[in-house]
Amino acid sequence: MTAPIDPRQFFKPNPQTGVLKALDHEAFTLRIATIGFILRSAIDLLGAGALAVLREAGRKAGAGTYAIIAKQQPSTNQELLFLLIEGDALAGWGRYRFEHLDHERKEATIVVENSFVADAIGSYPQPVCAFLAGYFEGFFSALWQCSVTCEEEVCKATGAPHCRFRLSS
Amino acid sequence: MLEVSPEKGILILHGVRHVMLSVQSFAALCTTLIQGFGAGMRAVLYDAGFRTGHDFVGYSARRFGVERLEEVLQHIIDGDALEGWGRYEVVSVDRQQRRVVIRVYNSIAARAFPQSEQPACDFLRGYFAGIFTAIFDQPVRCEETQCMALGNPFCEFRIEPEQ
Repeated sequence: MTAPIDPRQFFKPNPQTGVLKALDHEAFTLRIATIGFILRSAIDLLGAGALAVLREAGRKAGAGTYAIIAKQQPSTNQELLFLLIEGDALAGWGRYRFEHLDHERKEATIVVENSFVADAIGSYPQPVCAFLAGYFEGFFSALWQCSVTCEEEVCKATGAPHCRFRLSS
Repeated sequence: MLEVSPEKGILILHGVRHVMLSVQSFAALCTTLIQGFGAGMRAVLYDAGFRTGHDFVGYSARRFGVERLEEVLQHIIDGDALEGWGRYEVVSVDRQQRRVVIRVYNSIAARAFPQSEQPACDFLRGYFAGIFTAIFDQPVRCEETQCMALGNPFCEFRIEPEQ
């Protein structure tokens, strides 16, 4: 059983330099309303095309997060995914839960409670967490060493209670 | 100040939901958005910064009872340093002329884009414009005259009345 991450060990602010570190990597916090404004403005500027751009940004971020977690040298995939889930929960990205996970077949279904993207954007007529879908693509492509695609089947922004992502290779 | 609810995946600072991003993720997000949307995205970042800064002054006054200029600035400087936004140094304030010069060490954007060809801190530029528009109750504009992303030792912002 992996022990919970202590927030005091996770967040390491330095008021003298103004640099905050999480898992020894530079980070910062942003109000969710600010993220909502940036994402909504992007969608207003480019319509549906914005979601493709946000997905691509998410892929890069997901691959980067994999690299950060891999540096912690987790001994098993279970420990690696624990760090992803607990680290992102502490970072306020929402709570991830695996409904289905098969490392052999390289497929998974992830339910996200309180997705920061859906909560930032608010109500929207279609699934809107393209950044998170790309994030999972980037993370699991690195983990499984193959090209992974992720579809957001259900999104809180459309009125569902949570978001659900299906990953396959 | 900081409330973490890992079972919900929610991070609360000063009673408001926040999200933590790595500087690396921020760089990926901004680079891809600017590549996808061109220069218009820089205006979006400025505007998002303006709204954040403008709201924050009112919020600080309501939540912490800080209304005097010095208190508001100190509150923002200390709070933003803890949140990883860099360290701000107020070089000069001229209330009569509504002119302010601020230096920022370790700005997020400058760290995200260490080798930019132009000043990189559009969000922070808007943020300061929003803060001082609220404090002076008059529209101001903000220019970034030096940027660590250009190789300067700090980022410098000059705030002056909008013409």
